[in-house]
Amino acid sequence: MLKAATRAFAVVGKELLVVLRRPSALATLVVGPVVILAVFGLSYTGQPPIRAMLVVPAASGLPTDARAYDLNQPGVLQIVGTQSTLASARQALAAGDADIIVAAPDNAVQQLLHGKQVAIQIEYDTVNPYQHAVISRLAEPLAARVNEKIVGQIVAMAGSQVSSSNKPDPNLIAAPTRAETRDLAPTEPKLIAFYGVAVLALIVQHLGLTLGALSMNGDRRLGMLALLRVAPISALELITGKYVAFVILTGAITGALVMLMTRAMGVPMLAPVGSVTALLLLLILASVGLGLVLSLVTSSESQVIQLALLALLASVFFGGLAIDLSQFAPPLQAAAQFLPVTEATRLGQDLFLRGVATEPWRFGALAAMAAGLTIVALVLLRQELMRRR
Amino acid sequence: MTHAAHPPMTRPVAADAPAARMERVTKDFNGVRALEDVTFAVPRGALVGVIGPSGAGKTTAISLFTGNLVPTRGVVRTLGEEPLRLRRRTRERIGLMPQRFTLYPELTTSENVDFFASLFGLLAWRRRRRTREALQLVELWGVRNRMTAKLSGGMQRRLQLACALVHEPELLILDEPTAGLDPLLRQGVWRELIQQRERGRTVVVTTQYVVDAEHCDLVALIADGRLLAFGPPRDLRRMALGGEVVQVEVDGAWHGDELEALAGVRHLHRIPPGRFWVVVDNAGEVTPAVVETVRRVGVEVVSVREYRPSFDEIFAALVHRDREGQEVGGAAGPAAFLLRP
Repeated sequence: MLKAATRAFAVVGKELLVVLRRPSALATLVVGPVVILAVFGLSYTGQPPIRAMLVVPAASGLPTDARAYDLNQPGVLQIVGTQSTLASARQALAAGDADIIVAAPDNAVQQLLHGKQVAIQIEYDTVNPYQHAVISRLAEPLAARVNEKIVGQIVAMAGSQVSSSNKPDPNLIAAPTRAETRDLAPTEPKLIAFYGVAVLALIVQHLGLTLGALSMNGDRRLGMLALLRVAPISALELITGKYVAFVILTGAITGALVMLMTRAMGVPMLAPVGSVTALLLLLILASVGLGLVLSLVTSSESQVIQLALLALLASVFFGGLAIDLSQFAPPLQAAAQFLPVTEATRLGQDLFLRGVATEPWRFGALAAMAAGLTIVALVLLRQELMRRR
Repeated sequence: MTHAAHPPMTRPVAADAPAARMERVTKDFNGVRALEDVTFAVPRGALVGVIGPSGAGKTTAISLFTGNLVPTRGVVRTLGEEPLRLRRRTRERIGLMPQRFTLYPELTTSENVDFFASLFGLLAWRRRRRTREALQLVELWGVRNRMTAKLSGGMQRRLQLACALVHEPELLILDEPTAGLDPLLRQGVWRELIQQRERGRTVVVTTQYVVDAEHCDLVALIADGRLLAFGPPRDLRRMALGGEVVQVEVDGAWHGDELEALAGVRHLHRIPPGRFWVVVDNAGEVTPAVVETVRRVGVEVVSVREYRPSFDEIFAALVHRDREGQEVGGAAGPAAFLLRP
C-alpha cells in the first residue's frame, strides 16, 4: 500500500514539476483563456437597440417629430428620425443608419375616408435570423404607434372634414391600418445558412492556422532547421512551398465543405463562384500566414497548439459567430477586425446570402492581412534560418 | 554496402587549399567554453575524423564548419568561404548528416531521399537516378516504400547518410554517423565513407568511438573542448607515447643502463622486476640493437616486441597528459598510466 502510494506520488510530483518548470506554457494555458473571458466580460454591451427610421410624408398630416412615435423602450428600440420619402429612408437603411423602416402612406386619411384600409410598410434588410426575430417583434408595436397617430388625426378631423357622405366604414375605424412587412434581403434568414457560413469561415481559419503552425514547429522539432540552414534553399522558397501545399490542402477541404453546405444543407450561394473563391483563398492565405507567424514566435509545439486554440477561442467569441460584433464595445469591435475570420464571416454571409459584398472593403482588409502576415512570416523565417548561436 | 554506379566528380579540386579549416577558434555558450583555441585544417580529398568522448566539443566543431554556429573568436572557412555567408552554389557542394534523426517519419524511405535531392536542386530525371543510387548504396533500396518511422535505428542512420550523399557533395560533414550502430553496421558505414573519400570527396566525420580513428587519414582528437592532437593515426601513437615503444622483458637482475645509451633511444622506463619500456624514434630500426645489447650484457631475453596500444589507450593517455598539463606530443614519454603492468 505504502509502495503504491509512493509510486503514485512520484508521478504526481513529476507532473507538477514538469508543468511548473514551463512557466510560459502555464501562462498561455491559464492567462490566455482568462484574458479572453475578461475582455469578453468588459466589452460585452448587449444587444444594441433596433434603430427605426419613420417615413412620414409631408402630405400625410402626421407628426414629423420622431419623439411622437417613441415606444418608450430604451435599449430595445430607438427612433433615429423621420424621412419624408420612402426612397430616402431606404438609403438610410442601405447605409446602415437604420435597421428598420416604418412608412406611413402619403394620404392615409383620404384613403380611409374613401373606405380603403391603409397599409403601413415595414422594411428591413437582414439575413441574420436573430436580428430578423427581434425586428419582427418590434414591427407590430411600431405599426400600432403609426396607426394610433393616423386614428388620432381622423378623430381630430371628425366634424370638420368628415361629412355624412364620406363617413368611414366602422370596420375601418376598428382596424384602419395593416402592416406590410418586407425583408429586402434576397434570402430568407435561416439559422443554418447564416451560422453555416460563419462556421465554415471558422473551420477554414483553424485548419489553415493549425497546418501553418505545426509545419514550422515540426521542422524545428525534427532538427530540420540545421539542415535547411546548410541547404541551398531560401526562406522565400521554403515559405512558398509551405503556402502552396497548405492552400491546396485547405482549399480542397474547403471546397468539399462548400459543396456539403450548398448541396446537402441547402445554404444558398448567390454570389458568383469567383467571388466566393477569392474570399476563401484570401482567408486561407491569411490563416496559414497567421499559423506560420505563431509557429515562428514560439519555441515548442505545445506552445503553438495552445496559441492556436486561443486563436480559435477568440474567433468564436469575437469573430461574429456566437455573438454579433455589434454587441461589443467599439474598441473590441475594431480589434476583432484583425481576425481573418471576422472579415471572412461578414463577407461570406454577404456573398452566400445576398450575392454581393455590402462591405467590399473587407476584401481589402483580408488581402492586407494575408499579405502582411506573409511578409512577417517571411522575415521571421529568414531570421530563423540566419539565426546562429 | 554495395556499390552503385557513380559518375566521377566533375568539380575541380584545388590541391593546396583545404576544404575546411579553423584557426584559433574559441566557442563559448553563455559563458561556458565549448571549444578553446582549436586549429586544424581538412585537406581536400581527405577523410578526417573528429574524435572524442561525448560532450568533448565535436559537434560544436563541425557546426562551425556548416555555419550553424559562429565562433566566439577565431576564423572558420568552409570551401574557402565564411560559413555564415556561404553562397548558394557553395551550399550545393556540401552534404550534412546531423547527429540527431532529422528525417520526416511520415515519408517513405525514397520520399525522404527525393526531398533532400530536391532541396539541393537536383532536377527530376537526375533526382530519380540519384535517389535509387543512394538507396542502393546504403542497402535500403529494398525498403524504399517503407515508412521512415518504421525503419530500425540502424536503417534510419543509413537513410540519413543516403540523404547527405544524394546530391554528390564535394564536402561531406557527418556528425556521429555510427552512433548506436552495431559493429557490423559501423564497419559498413566506414567502408562507405572510405569509398566516398576514394571518389575524391572530402569527408569530415565525428565519432565517439576512438577506435574508428584507424579508418581516418587525419584525426582531430578533442576532449574538454581542447584539441589534444591532430595528425595521421600513426602519429597519434607517437604523440601519446613520446615516440615508439619497444617492450623488453628479461629474466634476471639488470638495471638496463646500456639500453639508455643506444642511438635512437629517447627514454627508458623501468618496470621492475625485469621489464623495460624503451621509447625510441623508430622501433623497426632500434629493436635489433636492443636485442643485441641485452644479449651482450648476458641477461636472458624473455621477449622483445613493439608495443602498439589501442586508440582507446592512446586517447586516454593523451587526455591524461593534457589534464596533467604536460605537452602533448612532447618528449615526456608515455603517460604514466600506460606503464602500468
